[in-house]
Amino acid sequence: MTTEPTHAAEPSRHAARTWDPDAPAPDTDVLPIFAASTAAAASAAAPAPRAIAATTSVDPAVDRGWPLRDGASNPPPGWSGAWRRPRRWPLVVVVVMLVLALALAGYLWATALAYQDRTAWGEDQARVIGTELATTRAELEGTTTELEGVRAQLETAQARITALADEKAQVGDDREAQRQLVDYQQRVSEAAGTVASALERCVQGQDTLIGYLKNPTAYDPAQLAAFGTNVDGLCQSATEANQSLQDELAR
Amino acid sequence: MTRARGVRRAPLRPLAAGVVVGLALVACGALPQPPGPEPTDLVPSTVPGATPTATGNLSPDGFDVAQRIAVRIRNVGCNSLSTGSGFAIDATTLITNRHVVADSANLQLSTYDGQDIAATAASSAALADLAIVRTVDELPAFPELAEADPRPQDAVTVVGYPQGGQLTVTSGQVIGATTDPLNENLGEVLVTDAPVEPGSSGSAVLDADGRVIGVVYAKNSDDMSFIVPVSTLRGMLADESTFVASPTCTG
Repeated sequence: MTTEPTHAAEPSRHAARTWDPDAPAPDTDVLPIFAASTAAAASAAAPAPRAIAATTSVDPAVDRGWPLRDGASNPPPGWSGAWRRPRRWPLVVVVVMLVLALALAGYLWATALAYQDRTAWGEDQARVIGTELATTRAELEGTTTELEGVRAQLETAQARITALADEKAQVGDDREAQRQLVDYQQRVSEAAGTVASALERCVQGQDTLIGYLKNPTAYDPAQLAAFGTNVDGLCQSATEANQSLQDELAR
Repeated sequence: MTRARGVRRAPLRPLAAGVVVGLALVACGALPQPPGPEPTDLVPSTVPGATPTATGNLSPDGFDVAQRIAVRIRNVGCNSLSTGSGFAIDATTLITNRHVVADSANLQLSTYDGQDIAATAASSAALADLAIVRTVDELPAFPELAEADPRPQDAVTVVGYPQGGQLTVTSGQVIGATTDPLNENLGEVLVTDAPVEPGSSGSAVLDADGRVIGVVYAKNSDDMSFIVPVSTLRGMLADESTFVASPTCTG
């Protein structure tokens, strides 16, 4: 009697069709029953179950109506009839973990290489930038020194400009003062000239009047009086001109 | 009994698989990421602007605005010569004191660098010791008028030509406000301890931001300077009808 492997692989799902009350069907989900010690004992007692299964022509389990999977071994001595499927999931887990570990290691190795390359590139860049920084610092120091010199020159130039502007202003003030002084002296000179001219006419008139008065009978008294009045007028003009001069000098 | 245990343990496999997958995903998240592509340039294209330690003199010729706005005024009268100070408020207008431009036969202006500026006309305010002088040529620079009068303890800077000499910058602070001791101004005037001398009349008084906050017009024996506040100046400028032609001398 043969049995479909799928029945053996998933007996629990098809238990309704294969379950025999006299012989309880194996439950592949019940893991602890087929313990490692039992498996070890079975392995020690019957090495290479697959080989045995391959060389055994008659499968007791099959004879007992139990489905066997392909490659399943014969039951060990003392087999009570309750079959426990060999558990492969630890191997699968180990394989999966191994693959994952290898993948992780590869990833980390590639990442480390990438960071190593990046570090080398960054170091090169840092050296280039450091060189540029040193050059720039040297240039800045020189420029700062030059700037200080230029600032000093600027301050000197500004002070000189201010001083020159002041000198120019003072010269302008002096020029205006001199011009006003010239105008003043011109006015004073003109006034002095007027005074001198008036005094000269006054003196001349008085001299003439004195000459007339030395021989008064020779002249008309009325004319002498009139001439004396004219001389007084000339002298009054001289007095006024002198007053003007004094006023101008007083300004 | 065995079947019951098998049925009960059946969901453990997907659960375990899910846990394993979940742990794997978490582990992947914890793995170091490989470095990205190499940056094309490690030097940033833009950097935060460096804060200058000093503003420096950034005008075309190295003089700051406070100096560039100052104007020296030479009042050439018929028989007198005096000097005063002033400052530009626009390209062709400057502000000074009324008594600086009074009784002039000729007003001669010069800038901080000695450049001569021709004046066209002068107008004086009747209610304050202020005057406006129009110029033919453009003035080098002009400041901004402050919006409000300074308060006590505010720092002030005075720029002018004390004694008709070099352009001088002095500083002090506002002491307070008082009525005009010379009775030449309506309202109150400001008192500061900034040193001024004859010839400083018409000097601009600037605040810490370089804005005009008043005009120097007098000093006392305690070396306190009196200032026409900017509020008065603004009021006068807003109504130019308050300015009339300055009296000139004849002869």
